Amino acid sequence: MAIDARHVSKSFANYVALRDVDLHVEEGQLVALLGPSGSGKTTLLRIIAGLDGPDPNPDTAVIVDGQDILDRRPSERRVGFVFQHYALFRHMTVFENIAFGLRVRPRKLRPSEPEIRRRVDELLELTQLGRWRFHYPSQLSGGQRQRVALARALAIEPSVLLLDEPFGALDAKVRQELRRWLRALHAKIPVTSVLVTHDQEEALEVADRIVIMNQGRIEQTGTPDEVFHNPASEFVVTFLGHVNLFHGRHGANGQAARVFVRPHELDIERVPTSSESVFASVLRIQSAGPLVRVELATEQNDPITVEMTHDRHRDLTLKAGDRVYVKVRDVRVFVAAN
Amino acid sequence: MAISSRHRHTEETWMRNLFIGVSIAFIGLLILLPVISVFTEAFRKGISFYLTSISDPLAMSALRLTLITAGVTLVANLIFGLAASWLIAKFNFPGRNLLLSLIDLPFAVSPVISGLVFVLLFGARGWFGALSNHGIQIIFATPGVILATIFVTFPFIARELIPLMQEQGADEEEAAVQLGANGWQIFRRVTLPNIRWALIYGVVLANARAMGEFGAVSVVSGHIRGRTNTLPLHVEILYNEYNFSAAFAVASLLALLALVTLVAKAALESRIRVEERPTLMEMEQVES
Amino acid sequence: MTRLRQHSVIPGFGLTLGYTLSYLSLIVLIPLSALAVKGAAQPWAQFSEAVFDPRTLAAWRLTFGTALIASLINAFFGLIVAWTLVRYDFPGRRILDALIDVPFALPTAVSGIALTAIYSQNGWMGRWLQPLGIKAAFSPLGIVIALTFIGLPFIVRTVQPAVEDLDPAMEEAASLLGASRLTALRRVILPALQPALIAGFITAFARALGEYGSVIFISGNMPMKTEIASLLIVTKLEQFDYAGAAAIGLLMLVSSFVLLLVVNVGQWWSTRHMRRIA
Repeated sequence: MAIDARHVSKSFANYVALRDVDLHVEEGQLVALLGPSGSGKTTLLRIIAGLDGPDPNPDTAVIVDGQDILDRRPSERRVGFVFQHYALFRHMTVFENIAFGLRVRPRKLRPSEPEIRRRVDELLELTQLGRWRFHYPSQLSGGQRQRVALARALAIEPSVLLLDEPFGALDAKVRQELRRWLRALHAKIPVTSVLVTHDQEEALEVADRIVIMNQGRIEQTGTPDEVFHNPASEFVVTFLGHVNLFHGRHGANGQAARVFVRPHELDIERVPTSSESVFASVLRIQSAGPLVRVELATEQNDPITVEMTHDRHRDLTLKAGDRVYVKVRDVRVFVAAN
Repeated sequence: MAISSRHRHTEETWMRNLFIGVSIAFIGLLILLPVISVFTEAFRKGISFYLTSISDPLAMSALRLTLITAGVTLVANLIFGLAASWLIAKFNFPGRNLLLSLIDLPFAVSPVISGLVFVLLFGARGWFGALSNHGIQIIFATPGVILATIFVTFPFIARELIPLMQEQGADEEEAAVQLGANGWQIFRRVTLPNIRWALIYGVVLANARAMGEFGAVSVVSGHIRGRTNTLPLHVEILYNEYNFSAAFAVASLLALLALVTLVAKAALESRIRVEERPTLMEMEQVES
Repeated sequence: MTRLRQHSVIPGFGLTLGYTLSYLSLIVLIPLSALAVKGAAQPWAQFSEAVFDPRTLAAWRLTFGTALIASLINAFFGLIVAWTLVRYDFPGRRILDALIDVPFALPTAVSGIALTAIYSQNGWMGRWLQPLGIKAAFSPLGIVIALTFIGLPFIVRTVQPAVEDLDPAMEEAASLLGASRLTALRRVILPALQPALIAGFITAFARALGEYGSVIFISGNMPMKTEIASLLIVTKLEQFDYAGAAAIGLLMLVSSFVLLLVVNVGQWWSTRHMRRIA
């Protein structure tokens, strides 16, 4: 079920969370809303869920599967929601938590107990929680609890799945595992999903498409590849990954411009091979990691970081204090005018 | 304390209105009505009757005994409260939790029992009954009244100070020791300023209870007018004599005390929250 | 929390320990043990005569029954009031919140005579009940009303923090899973409040068992009919039946302690069983 949110605005007492935002999610896609705190991503998610209401506006609409659900209460929207801190029902077992959405249905729509049991077992199987079915949330680890939360949300067969920083409260390692697991789950059950996160690595790894938000606006929408390599604005390029800032001149009038280059798009050479190579001296070399990072100081710009493979580093035999030249390897560079 | 706006979209209007209505009706009928009636009954026979009633010599001596009792009780329990909270908050020792439970005991005891125990101790056939033969009268006299009141208000001050001091920890006091201060200096200059408001709060609550205690004092006092009657007991005597308006007149003084106590309580609570709860303050700073 | 070392560098351990223990023994432990000894040391025949006397049994039944009913009423309304004070904002909320503490602060004798005045036949409430054939003052109903008055703050102040601590995400989750507000209340919110509600109920109940001042004016004190246990103790004392008073008093003390224990154990158990999800 595709999601179409149009002209959504939301202001709170002392700040504006969303400014006339349009969001479109294709059916079956997993979209990440990525941005810093205060960008409005959680607010947008909650408005889709019905937990908050947008500012009243005749043009505002939230259309899911062809129907405007804006006037429906949260309990009527059939939206699956996973909270950052799980929000599991403490006094119920894992089984009862997952069964909850099915058991509270009005009599006419409620499946029989055996049917409920079957469905819950299926989900327990899917989330590998079978042996915990009669345990209480307090007896589970954080990662397990979040899987219960997910199973619980999926039990009601939602048209849309919304996840609010689902892995934010977990350790780094558990986070990674669950990311991969979520990706696999989505492949098996392709519910239209929207994931809110401030972790760019997470968004780049998990999502089909990424929506980058900042201060209540959408900065760019695209695949992880597009967004990383073809950033549409200064915000996007500085938000994703490391970036170096050069000051240069642009165009016929020599307008002052800010040039952003990623560390792996730069190379170091002992002898300048182009007129645009920048003279620099090596400050620090960090070789513990998949790539070698070299920090250099320059005259006119801020310190820059260059990333290179270990092989290249060996060829160059750099050490701190060396005077070298920094060259832009790729001409695909983003220029922003002041 | 702000009402969260997150609940707005999961709440039902009819439920909200019903709950508010029921709450107001219930509290209004159960609690507000009696409070108001104390004052209307007190002034039923007019202002001059009211003034005569409260300035009656027997009422005055009852007031005197109440004030003396409260004064002694507060001082005694204050010293205890400070000692006990210092002990429990700054040190760790086996039996600390048991001590905490023991301090709370008088709270669990019925007022009549609180008086009974002293009659059993000092009454004619009590363990120390022989004292009365030597002219030392404990029960049916002021000392008994004071003892029973001390028992009943025993935990109040300690209960306010202990959790606060535990929360504040012993860091500042340890620093003071390193800087060369002795015990009294540390207490006066480091600890006391940190617990001022909680201390006053405990005293205010203890005072309300001390002046208003009825059951325990009733058992212990012997109801001798002019000598062993506190204000609440005097109210009872007037009432039993069918002198209702006078009884309510004296009662209104106690009711006024209660209202003043509530106002002081509310004012102090916000002070304590702001000034003496360090962990709360740190949390607020992190969030901004 | 800071670390605390046994006999740390901070001075005053010996002094405060000594003083605290002495004061505690003098004021609390010795008097209570006098009751324990005097109550238990008497010959069984004498003890059981005092305790199983028809008048005593009637007083127990009355005390227990009225305390139970009053505490149940308080549990129901106290929950509603606590919920309302935490969740809703309306003009007069602060005043309502302050009124909850009145039974705490008002001397029991004052509440006693005030309640009697209101619920007697010509009183503000009594006059409405009279034509309905309901006698409030000088009947067990009056006792229930007085005990309800006394016990309310215990329940409200115990349940209020629990309501404040409820996770809004939990209620949102219930709503998103399709539960109506009523269903969410029944299946999610009430179970979460249960420990606090029970603790408040028991505390109010324990207080109601031992209440004296606010009850003796409105009850009428008729032996076998409206005489509560604590009054019976006072009566026996006035008759110099120390042994009888001690016997009944000891039972009352033991039941208070048992209830206190139940509350403490219950709280310890429930924090273990339903730990907060971090």
